[in-house]
Amino acid sequence: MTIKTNKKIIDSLEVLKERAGELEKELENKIIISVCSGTGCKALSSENLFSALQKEIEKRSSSDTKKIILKKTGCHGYCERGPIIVIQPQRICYLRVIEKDIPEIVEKALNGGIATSLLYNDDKGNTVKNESEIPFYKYQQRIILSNNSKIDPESIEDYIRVGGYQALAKALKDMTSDEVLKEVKNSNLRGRGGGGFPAGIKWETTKNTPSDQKYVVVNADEGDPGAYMDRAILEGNPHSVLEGLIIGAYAIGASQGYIYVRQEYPQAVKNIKTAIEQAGKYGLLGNNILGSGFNFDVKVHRGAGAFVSGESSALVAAIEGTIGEPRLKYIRTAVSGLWKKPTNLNNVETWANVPYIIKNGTDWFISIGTKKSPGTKIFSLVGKVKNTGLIEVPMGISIRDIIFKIGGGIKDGRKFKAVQTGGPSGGVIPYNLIDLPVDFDELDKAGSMMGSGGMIVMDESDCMINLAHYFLKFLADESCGKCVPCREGLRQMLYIFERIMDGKGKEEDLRLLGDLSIMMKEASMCALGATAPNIVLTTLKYFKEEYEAHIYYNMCPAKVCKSLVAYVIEEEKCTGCGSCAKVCPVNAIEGENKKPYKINTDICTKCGSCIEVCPSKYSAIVKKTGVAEKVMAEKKEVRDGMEVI
Amino acid sequence: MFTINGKKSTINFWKDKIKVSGFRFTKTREAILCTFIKNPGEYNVEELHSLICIKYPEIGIATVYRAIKLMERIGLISKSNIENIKSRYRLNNIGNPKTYRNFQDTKQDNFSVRKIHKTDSQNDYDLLSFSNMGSNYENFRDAERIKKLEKQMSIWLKDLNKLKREKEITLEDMIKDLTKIDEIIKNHGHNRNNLIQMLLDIQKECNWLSKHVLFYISDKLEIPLTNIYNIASFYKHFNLEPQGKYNILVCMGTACYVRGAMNLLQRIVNVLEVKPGDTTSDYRFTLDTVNCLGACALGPVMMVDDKYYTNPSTKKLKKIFSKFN
Repeated sequence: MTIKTNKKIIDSLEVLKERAGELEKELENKIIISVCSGTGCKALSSENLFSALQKEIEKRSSSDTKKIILKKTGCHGYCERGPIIVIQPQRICYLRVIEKDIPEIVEKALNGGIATSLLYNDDKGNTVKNESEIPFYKYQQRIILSNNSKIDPESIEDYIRVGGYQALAKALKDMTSDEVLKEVKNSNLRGRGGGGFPAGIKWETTKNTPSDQKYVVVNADEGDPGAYMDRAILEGNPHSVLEGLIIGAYAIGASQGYIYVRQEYPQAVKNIKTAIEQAGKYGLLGNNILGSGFNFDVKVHRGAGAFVSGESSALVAAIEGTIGEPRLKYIRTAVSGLWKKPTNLNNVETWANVPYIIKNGTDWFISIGTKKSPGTKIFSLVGKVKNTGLIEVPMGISIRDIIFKIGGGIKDGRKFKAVQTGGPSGGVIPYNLIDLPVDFDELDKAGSMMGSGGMIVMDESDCMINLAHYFLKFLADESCGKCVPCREGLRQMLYIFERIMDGKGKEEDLRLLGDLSIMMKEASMCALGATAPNIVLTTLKYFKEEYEAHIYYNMCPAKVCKSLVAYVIEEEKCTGCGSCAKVCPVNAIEGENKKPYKINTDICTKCGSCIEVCPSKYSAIVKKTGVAEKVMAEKKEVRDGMEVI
Repeated sequence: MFTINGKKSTINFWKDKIKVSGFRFTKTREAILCTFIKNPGEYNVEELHSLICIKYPEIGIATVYRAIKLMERIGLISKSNIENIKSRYRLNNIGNPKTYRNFQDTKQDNFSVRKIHKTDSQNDYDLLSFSNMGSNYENFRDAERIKKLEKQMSIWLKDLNKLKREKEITLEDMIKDLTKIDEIIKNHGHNRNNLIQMLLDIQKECNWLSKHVLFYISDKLEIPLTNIYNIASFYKHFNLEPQGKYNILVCMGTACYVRGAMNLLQRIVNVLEVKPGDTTSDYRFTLDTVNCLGACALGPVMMVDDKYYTNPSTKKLKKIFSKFN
C-alpha cells in the first residue's frame, strides 16, 4: 500500500532523490533549531526547553515565526554538557542550556548573532562556534550518529531528506539478492555486538540453509551497564536500522523480522514502532516494497529485564515466549533458530552500517578503520573523564587518543589508572598499554576485549578489587544457572572477593582465583560464563600489588573497600562547626561546639555525607586505611612496623 | 440403533451437532437425546436415567451423568438454575443452526463482573451463589471453573490483605483486575507465545502480578501455573509482591558506580530504612537498583517516578521524599 507523495508513488531511486531534493529546498533560508531529546538530555529537562522555545517563538512577529523551524532530535552524543541546542545551517552549538537562556537564543538566531556565553569554552578561555570544531567532535568520525542531530526521529520525511531509503531502492531495483550479499561479505563488516563475527558469512549461512521461512532479528537488548549506544541509534535514527534490516532480509530471503528491545528503553520502543508504521504507509515495508515484489514485515518484542537473554540463542528462546536461557551451540541459529528455522541475528549497530555500505560501496567502507576491522565503532566513554558521552571513531584509534584528545583527560586533575573495556565481559587495561589500537583483535591479546563498546575510565580513587567484585556480583545475579561452571564458579569467586574486601583474605585465594578462571573459561556453556573471568585475570595480571595490599596488609590503597577504611576527623583541622553531625544519618558524630568532633567508627556506615559537607577550607575529615579492625582514630601510630596512611 | 418413527431426521440433526464438536455419537448419548425428543420437558438426572432404563437397562446413572455434562458443555442441553433443588435439564431449542454455540467459541467468553452484596447480619462481603445469575452460564465447564476460582480467591484474599497491610482490598478489586486481563489477552490474540508481552502489559496496569492474576491467566490460556511462575521469576522486571506508589530507582551502571553510586544507595537506605528490593511499610516507596539509566553525565543518578536527581545529599533526600505523598 503506497501513499502518493507529491502525486508520485515512491517506487524508484529517482523518485526518492527528487523527494529528498524537494524537502531540502523547503528548508532553504530557514533557521532550524534542534533540541537534543535523548534520554540523557531529557533527564536534564530538555523537554521544558522545547516548550519554552515554542512559546518564545510564538511571541515574535508572524514573519519571524515562519522563518524558524523547531525540531526535537535524538542524542547528539556530548552528554557531559547537555542539554544541547544546535542552530542550523551554521551548525552553531550551544551547550548546557537553561531555560532563561531561551530568549537570547531566539533573538540571536533571528538576527544572525551568537550567544557567546553558551558556546563551548575550554579551560584557556577560547570559545568554539561550530559543532565540528569542538575537540570532542573534531577527532571523531561520525557516520552512523551523524544524522542524529539533524533529523526528528518521529518523522520519516526528515530521514528521506538526508538521503534515507536510497540504499534500499538501489538494492531492491538495481541489485540481485546475491549481489547485495556479496557486497556486504566483501566489506568484511564484523558484528558490533561484541562477538565480532563477520556479518556477511552469517548471512550466507542463513541464506544457504534450505527452508520455507527465514527470519531476521535485531538484537537491541543492550544489557551492559554503562553502555547506551544502541539506544541512541534506536531513539535518534530508527529508520536507518529498519532500512538495514530490510536490505538484509532481501539478501537472505527472509519474510519476517523481529526487533527485540529491552523493556528499560520505553522511548526506543515508541520510536521504532512509529518508524515501522510510517514506513508501512510509504510503501517501504509490508507487501510489494517499492513495487519490487519483495514482502517483508517487522514485529517488536519487548524484553523483561534479563541480561542473559541478550545472548543470541537465549534471545531466540525469549521471542518464542519461554525463558531466555542460552543453549549449546553445536547447531548455530543461522541454521536452526527461531521456531527451528534459519535465523540471522545481528546487533543494532551492525544493521545500521548496512545502508551506508550499499550506498557508498565496499571500497569506501574498507578505507575506514583497519584491515581486519573496517568501519567505525560507537563507544560510550564514561567515568572519570572530562567529556563523557557517545563517540564514534574509526577502528584502530589508540586508547590514548580517545581518553586524552576526545575525552579531554582525567577529571579534577587526577592521574589515569586504568580503563575498563567491553562491559562485564571485558577487562582492564593499565597505563603502559594505553597506546594499543582499539579494534576486535588487539585488545583480546591484552586479555580484555572491545565488546559492545563500553569504556569506563578510572583514576587513582578507584579500587580494582571493588570493581571486580561489582562485575562478578552483576554476572552472578544475571547468570541463568543452567551450567555448573558459571553458576558455582561465579558464586565461589564472589565469596573469595567478599572475604578479601573484609580483610580476611588468604594467600591461597589468589591461586584459587586463577584455577576457577581457567575452569570457567573452558567449560561454560555460553559467553557469559566464559568471559566472566576476564576482569579477574586482568586485574590480577596488572594490579597484583592491590590484591597483595588487601590480603597481607589489610589496606585498600584507593580507600574504597568499606571494611578496610575508617572515616576520621583530624583534630588539628576541625573547628567544631558541627555541620557533619547534622547530616550524619546514623548519628555517629559527636562533639561540643568549637571543639573537635569525633566519629564513632562502630556505627559509621561510611556513606560519605560528612566528607561532602565539611567546608573545603578545613577538609578535616579524611579516610584512613590500615589494619582492619582497629584503625586508630586519635593518634598517628606505627603499628607492627606499618605506618597508618 | 434407536429409531423413532418419523423422527429419524431430527436424530440425525443432533448426531451432526455432536460430531461437529468432535465427539462420538455413542449409545448413551443417542438414548438421552431420543428420550428428550420423545418426552419434551425438564428432567433431573435420576428421572432421565429411569426413563432410559426402560429400553437400555445396562446404562448406569454415572454414564448418564457424564453424558449430560458433556452435552451441556457442547450446548445441546441447558440447566435450569433453581436454588437448593436438584438441577433439571432440558433440550435446547436449536431450530436455527446459526444460534448453535460451537464448543470452541465458549472459551473466549468474557468474565462478567459479579455483584457482591453485604449481608445484613455481619459487615462482611458474601458471595452470591451462581444460580441467581440467570442463564448467563450456559456453559457448565465455565461455571465450574469460576466456582473453583472464587473459592481460591477467597482464601487468597486473606493472605492478600495480610500482605497489603494498609489497604484492605476486596473481592471486587480482584475481579476488576481480572476484567482488565481479559482485554489484554484479547489484544494479544489469545496466543500462548505472547505470554511475556501480556505479562508486561498486565504489570503496567496492575503494578504487580498477584496470585489470582496468574492463576486466571493459566486457566484462560491453558498453560500450567508452574510455567507462568517460571517466566515471572526469571525476568527481573516482573514483581511478584505489591509495590509502593512511587518507584525509586538507583542507577548501578558502571559509570555511576565509579562516581559513588554505592554511597548514594547507602544514604537512601539510611533515610528510608528499607533494603534495595523492598517496599516501605506505608507502601509509599519501593527501592530498586537498575543497570544503567543512560544518564551517565549525571552520575550517580536516582530516579523517582520519571524525575532524575543527581547525587542528592541526605538533607536533599529527605526533602525530595517528603514531596511525594
